[in-house]
Amino acid sequence: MSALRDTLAQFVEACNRNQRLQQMNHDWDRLILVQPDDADERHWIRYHQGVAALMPGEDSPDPADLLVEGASGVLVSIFSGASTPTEPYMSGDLRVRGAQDDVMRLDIIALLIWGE
Amino acid sequence: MAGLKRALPLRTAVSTSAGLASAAINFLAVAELAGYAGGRSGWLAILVAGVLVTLSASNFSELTALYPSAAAIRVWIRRGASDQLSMVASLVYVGTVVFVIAADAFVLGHVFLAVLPGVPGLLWIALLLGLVTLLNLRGIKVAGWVQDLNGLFLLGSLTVVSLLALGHVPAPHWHTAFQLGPNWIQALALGVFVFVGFEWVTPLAEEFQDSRVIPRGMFMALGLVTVAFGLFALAAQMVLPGHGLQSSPVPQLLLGRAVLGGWGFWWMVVVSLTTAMTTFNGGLATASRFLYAAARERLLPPALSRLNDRLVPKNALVALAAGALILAVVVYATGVYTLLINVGAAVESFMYALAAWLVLSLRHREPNRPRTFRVPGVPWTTVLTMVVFVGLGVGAATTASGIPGPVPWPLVFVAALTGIAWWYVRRVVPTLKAPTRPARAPTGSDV
Repeated sequence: MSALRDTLAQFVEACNRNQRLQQMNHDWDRLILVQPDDADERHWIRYHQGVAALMPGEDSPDPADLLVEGASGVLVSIFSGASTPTEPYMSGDLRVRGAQDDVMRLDIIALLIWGE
Repeated sequence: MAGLKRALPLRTAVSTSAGLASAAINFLAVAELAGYAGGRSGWLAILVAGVLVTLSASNFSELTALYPSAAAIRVWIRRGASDQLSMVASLVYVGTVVFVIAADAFVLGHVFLAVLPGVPGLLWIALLLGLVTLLNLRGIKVAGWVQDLNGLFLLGSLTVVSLLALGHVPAPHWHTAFQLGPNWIQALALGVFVFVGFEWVTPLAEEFQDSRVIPRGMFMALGLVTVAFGLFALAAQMVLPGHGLQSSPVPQLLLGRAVLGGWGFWWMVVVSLTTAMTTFNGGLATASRFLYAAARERLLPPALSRLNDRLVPKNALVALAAGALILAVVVYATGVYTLLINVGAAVESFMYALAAWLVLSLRHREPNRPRTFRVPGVPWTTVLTMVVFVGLGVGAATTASGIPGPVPWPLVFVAALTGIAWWYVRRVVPTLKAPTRPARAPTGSDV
């Protein structure tokens, strides 16, 4: 298992442990693709009825709602809570494509898990 | 590149760009520039400004193709120049959004005053700004198609009313449409204000499947805005008697009445109200999310990143609305709305010059990064854009603002705003960014 996938698995666990987050996301059904641009990996996280799941394999039959891209180190840093997503996002090192509300929701998830 | 489930269409890029540029205060900007143009050539100043702004649009197109991000200028300036300059420019830019909201509030108040003279305009401003703030706090959003429709409703209405007006202009009057006065360059500088905000569609870049949609949308929007406001300037200067255009805070209502009587008056009332409300809504929603993001990265106090239970950045929203209301009250009470127009035109011109410089800088710093749009003729076109917009910015900042005396108040205002932002970034931001805890661990803390 790569360091990024390991981090994402822990991130998903942290999401599911947070009750307020589950409540907030109960109607937020989204498919998130996390794709490092310095490694040949693709990871899919599905949010459904407030529960997050790291999907097996590197492919999904459905297109993503959100696409999260950046260097592996940056992705590991934000999904592990070592840094906020905002800092690399504002410097262009983290790129997120999708609806603005969903992009903001990702940041709020990080805020709820790790605080300010 | 992986596909997205939901992506915005070209139509939205056009209507968003055109809609954000089309504020109600544009009517007064047209009136002000017409006074400087000489003869009845205000339309020509708008046309030339539109062509020049198109040069700037090509710079924004390359920048957004390089880094398609909702953080837009915050990212581009940080990559192309420095973090500090990026913070200063971003704060000044958000200040411009507040100016435009306050300026539109001024127009809104006077439109209501024309309709219901017995009720103070300030009351309507407070009520409607409060209503939009409340709707935003409740997380109620205007549907995308409504915003699309509203922008095109304004431009379509202006075009139709103006063409109807021009149909009645006698032939001997037409030669005055090409008379240029001695202050025509100032008219051109103020013409930039008519397009202020067209580039605020770039923060939506992440929502489009193909980033080339943004340049196409901006170029088409600039064409529509140029035609609609150019025709309005020409029609208003031809049809409204004497100095009617310059002496009224609601020239669009006068033109509507002159062309179609009571129907035309009410038509333009509806256009003005929907436009001002869209400016309030779009400005507050966009700027409050910028403040939220800035607070998250400790550029602003963390209190501005607090969310309510509908995930709306409540403190940021209320602070912006309060700032806009205070400024609107001052402008309404003093009547110096031209100061806001001149400051807005100057800030935008300087920002367009900066965007041109960023294109050059990023071509040098990141030559191999993929770009789906490249400005043709670099470096000559970008250097030309820089020189032109620095000149127009200085022109707008030194144009009389309605305050008596020799002091160029718009220039003082822009300098003060930039100075305060610079001081804030140098002195306050480092204390906000100072680490308050050693490491981040999962928490269930409230937001």
